Amino acid sequence: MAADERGMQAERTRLAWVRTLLAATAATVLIARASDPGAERIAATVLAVLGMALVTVAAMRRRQPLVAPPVLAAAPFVVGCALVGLAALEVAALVVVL
Amino acid sequence: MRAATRPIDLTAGVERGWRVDPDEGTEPDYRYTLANERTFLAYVRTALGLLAGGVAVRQLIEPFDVTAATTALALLSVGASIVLVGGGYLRWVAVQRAARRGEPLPAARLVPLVAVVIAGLAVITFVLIAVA
Repeated sequence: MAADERGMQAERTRLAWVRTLLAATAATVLIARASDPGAERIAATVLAVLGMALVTVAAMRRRQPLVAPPVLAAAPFVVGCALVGLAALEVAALVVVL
Repeated sequence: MRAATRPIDLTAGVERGWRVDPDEGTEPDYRYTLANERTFLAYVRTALGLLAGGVAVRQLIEPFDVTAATTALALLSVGASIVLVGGGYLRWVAVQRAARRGEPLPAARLVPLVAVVIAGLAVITFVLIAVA
């Protein structure tokens, strides 16, 4: 396998993480913007920012193993961070919706 | 002669469906590993899109004439988002396990489900707009 091909696989995955982070950021901004002023806005924004921060940590932690071989599946910590962050974003959305 | 007895392993055959066992099978070609990870991230982005759609429906559009219709639409959208995140993760685990074992990939049941849910959301919204 050519070295360029290896680099592109890792690069595409890093870009996929970046796109996911951008989507999480957009969702966070929308949640903060759409929530009613007061306690709801504070609770929803704090939860959403916490979720976005966890997704950011997951993306940053995943970046290094993709740069340095051997490339293995994402570590449980990375997946766990991403899932907990997404759960926080979902709860924030439910706070806004309900 | 009596056969040697072995301790009964109560966990034998029990699948751990929620995580990848690093000792199971062999490490697959990392191109498959990374492709599987990108697919999981695509599920996550789709879920985030549904989440944003639910919030937007609830807060950013005028209420429909039908009582609580916007709330129901928003809840359906956010609920689908939650199912998609969980289902995407479970599919990531199932595909990774199949790759480690050298088995065929499991069927993607979530994709048609997501298509039906999104089509349903669009139809319900269209009907509500038409009724209004």
